[in-house]
Amino acid sequence: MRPQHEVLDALFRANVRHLLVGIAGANCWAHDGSLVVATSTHEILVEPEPRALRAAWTALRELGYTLRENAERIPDPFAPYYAESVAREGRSTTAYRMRDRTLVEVHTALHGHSFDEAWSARRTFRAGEIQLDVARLAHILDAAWARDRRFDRLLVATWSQGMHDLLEPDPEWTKFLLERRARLHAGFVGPPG
Amino acid sequence: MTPMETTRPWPTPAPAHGTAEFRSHVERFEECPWNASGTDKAWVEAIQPSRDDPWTEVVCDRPAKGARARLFGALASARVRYVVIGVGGADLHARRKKKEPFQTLDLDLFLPRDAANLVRAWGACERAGWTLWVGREPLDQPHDELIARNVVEQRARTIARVDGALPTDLTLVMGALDFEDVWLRRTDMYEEGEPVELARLADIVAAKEQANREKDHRFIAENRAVLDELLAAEGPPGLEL
Repeated sequence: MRPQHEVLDALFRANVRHLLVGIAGANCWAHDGSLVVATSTHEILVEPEPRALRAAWTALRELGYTLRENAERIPDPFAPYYAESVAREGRSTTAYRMRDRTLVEVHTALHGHSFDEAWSARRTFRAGEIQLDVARLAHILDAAWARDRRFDRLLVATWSQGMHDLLEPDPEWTKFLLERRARLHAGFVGPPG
Repeated sequence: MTPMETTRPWPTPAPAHGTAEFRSHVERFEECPWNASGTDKAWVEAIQPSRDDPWTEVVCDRPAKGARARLFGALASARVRYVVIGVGGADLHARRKKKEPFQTLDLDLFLPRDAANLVRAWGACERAGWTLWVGREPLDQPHDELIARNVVEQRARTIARVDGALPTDLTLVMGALDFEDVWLRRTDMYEEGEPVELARLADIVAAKEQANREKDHRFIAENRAVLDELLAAEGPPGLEL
């Protein structure tokens, strides 16, 4: 099972309301590989409730992830009222698994939208038998834009151009893209086997 | 004008974030058939690069790894919980801080008293090309949980051997220290690109002091200055990345 699906499945089994956000969430909305961004970071928005947070952290620990807030490891067992303070202040924690270099960012707030708002507008996809609860694309792109980082701005610009090319295609540009794709694929032999 | 400028078209610019046109695009895109609720999106993760993807190995054409790195890689792939302890562990700490390496005749891996984990560790050793021994005899076949439970009950030590590398002990005892404590405080590092779970130096030294063996006292006494320096650099648990 892929790391992302493993994590989402574990959270689902732990009965934690969660949404896939960030790049991994945006990837789920893509219509083909042209809008999928390679990432080993999975951003998850967890319900800002202490019980849900503790359950999510425990599930991640059981999968072999090391939990940290900023650079500091989160002690086991959790300190009293730690989950409460993280949930109240909308802080984020990370879980890293060295074996496959997978980083899971556990957020408790999404810029500009409350959890309930994001949850009610979610879209449920699936990956085989695994349920993928993904935040609305508009919410993901708004949050990325609000971060005001170069990479996030690039992500929004890429999505904007991708959606524009698909929804309002320019015949000349589409013809050029198709010809270029044909040229690229003409010499491609594929991976061995 | 270059030929590129004359023949290559340019896409019409996409709307900027926050505009009505952008919002309309997002809403229309969200309602496209490929984004209908319940659509199978397994392909999104399937096209992401994977650490275990053989194609990336072919492209990278990496040089062959040493036996020990192969062992660490196999342990990581098999999700074995272990920490490197003993003088071998102290040596890894010293190398990480560019200090003179400590001399040792073996490498100690501390495992929890968990038969399933031990079976995975044995499997990983064999996949990496190491052979398993108990004392001077090869470990009984098959290496199943029944044998592992006996080994765990007796707190016995398994030894993995391979040509060209120091023997590696799979031990279930580290003085009076509990595996879960050592595991929580462990440090991560890489050897030839493979992840290594390394016990904190403070735990390694504490276990040596508890063991109360002459060779351990001698090791600590002879290397006191370097160990003190490394321990000071290590700091309290929880601060290392």
